[in-house]
Amino acid sequence: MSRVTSLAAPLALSLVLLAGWELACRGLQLPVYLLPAPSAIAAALADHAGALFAAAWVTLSSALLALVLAALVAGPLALAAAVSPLIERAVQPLAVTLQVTPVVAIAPLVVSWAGLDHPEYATTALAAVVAFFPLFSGALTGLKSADPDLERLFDLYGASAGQRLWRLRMPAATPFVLEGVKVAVGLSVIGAVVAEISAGSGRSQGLAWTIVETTHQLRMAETFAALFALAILAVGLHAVTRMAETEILRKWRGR
Amino acid sequence: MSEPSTALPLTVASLQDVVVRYDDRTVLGPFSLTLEAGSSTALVGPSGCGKSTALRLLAGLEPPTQGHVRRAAGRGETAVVFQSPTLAPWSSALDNVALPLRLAGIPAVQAADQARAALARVGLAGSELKKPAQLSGGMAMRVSIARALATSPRLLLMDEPFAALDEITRRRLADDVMSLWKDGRPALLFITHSVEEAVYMADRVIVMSPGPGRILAETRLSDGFPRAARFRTSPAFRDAVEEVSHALQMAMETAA
Repeated sequence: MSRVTSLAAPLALSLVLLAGWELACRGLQLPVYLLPAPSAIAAALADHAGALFAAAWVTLSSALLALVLAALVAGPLALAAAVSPLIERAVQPLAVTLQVTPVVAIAPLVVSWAGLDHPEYATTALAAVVAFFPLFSGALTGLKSADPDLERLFDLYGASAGQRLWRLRMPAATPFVLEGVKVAVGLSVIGAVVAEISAGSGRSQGLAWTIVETTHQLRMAETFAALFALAILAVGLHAVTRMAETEILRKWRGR
Repeated sequence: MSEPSTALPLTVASLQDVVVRYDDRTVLGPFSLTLEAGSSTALVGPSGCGKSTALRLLAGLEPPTQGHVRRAAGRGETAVVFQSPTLAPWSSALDNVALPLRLAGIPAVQAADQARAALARVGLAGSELKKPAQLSGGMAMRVSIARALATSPRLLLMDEPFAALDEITRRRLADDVMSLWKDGRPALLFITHSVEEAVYMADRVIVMSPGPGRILAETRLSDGFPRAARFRTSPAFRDAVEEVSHALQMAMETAA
């Protein structure tokens, strides 16, 4: 498939769907509080661009901060687990438990701990919780992924534990870590959104909060505008991560 | 277990009545083998006869369940070439070759110089900065051989190094390995599935029985390294190949 076709196909489908939506709204004369037409959503986007942008930044910044926090815990923990089977054995079940517990279920608790004055603590904490597992398991899998024969060569040449970690295990982990980051980036946005919705009203000003607020007030065009902004944010973040991953991998393996 | 050598000074490594058991399964032995300085020994045998296990014992990479391993080669004096090139994909050819030198504590600049020279010896001058993914299978194996020789080892162990290469490349590499080997003449142990390759590269060919591997037959050849251009058509070569093939066939029949 040519580059143009592969770009045009999804675009064309979107346009067809949007046109159908617009026609249906007009033809059926649906009230705006039920389903706004794409034109109304576009107008809402334009009218509230500044506010949406600010809200997107709130959500994005807490997701990114959460990623950094999660990485700061997951990285060293994965290193420790890679070096010591005992630590791995101790940490792994807890990490899995944290992973399989739905973030929605712990959100109200974390939100109440954060308090009404600081809902951003809750969004960051919950985003960090969901971002932790892919980062940890990516790093741990990667650190243990080195070619066994290459490990044997390190034995043969009497490499120290530090040399093995720095010259073998850490570089070997790179592709796995990048994969973990890619998954974690997506999940961190979900974590932040879940926390904002849990916080409901209050001082949170993120995109998900905007969605909840405008839904309550039946300002559906703005709801859809915020949803659209959220989708763009997530897609953009994913695209940037994937580009970075491709670039780093190209450098890593030389092509 | 490895112990300081008390054997003849010419012996670089030896296995004495070693047995290796994994769980309750005996994979090797009792098996004895002595590798002398300057000699080239080939090990042939059916799959799963414990050839690679014997190699790992000689390298000091694992201890035997019973028996003794004696190694005169100290740390950094043993080199192993595996069936796959076993290069670090994130490192350039130069860094891969320099790795054992760096691990031995040689400063980066000096290690790079030695690695560059080692790459030039295997005909890869100019490919220093290429990464393994950018090399052909034969070139990657050359890098692996350069890495093994960069440390001027006393003991060189090769585990089916050419198995994944095409016939032309493996013949060319066999010649190159033998001419490089001639320089320092480390004790060479060469594991292969190919009888012709074994006879071509070794002055002693050992045929092993199916697992648990024991020595079934031993064929000695005249040294005469590097082999003359028409060595493969000489009667001495044909006779040795016949003899080894026959022993190997007996081994296979025992297995069946």
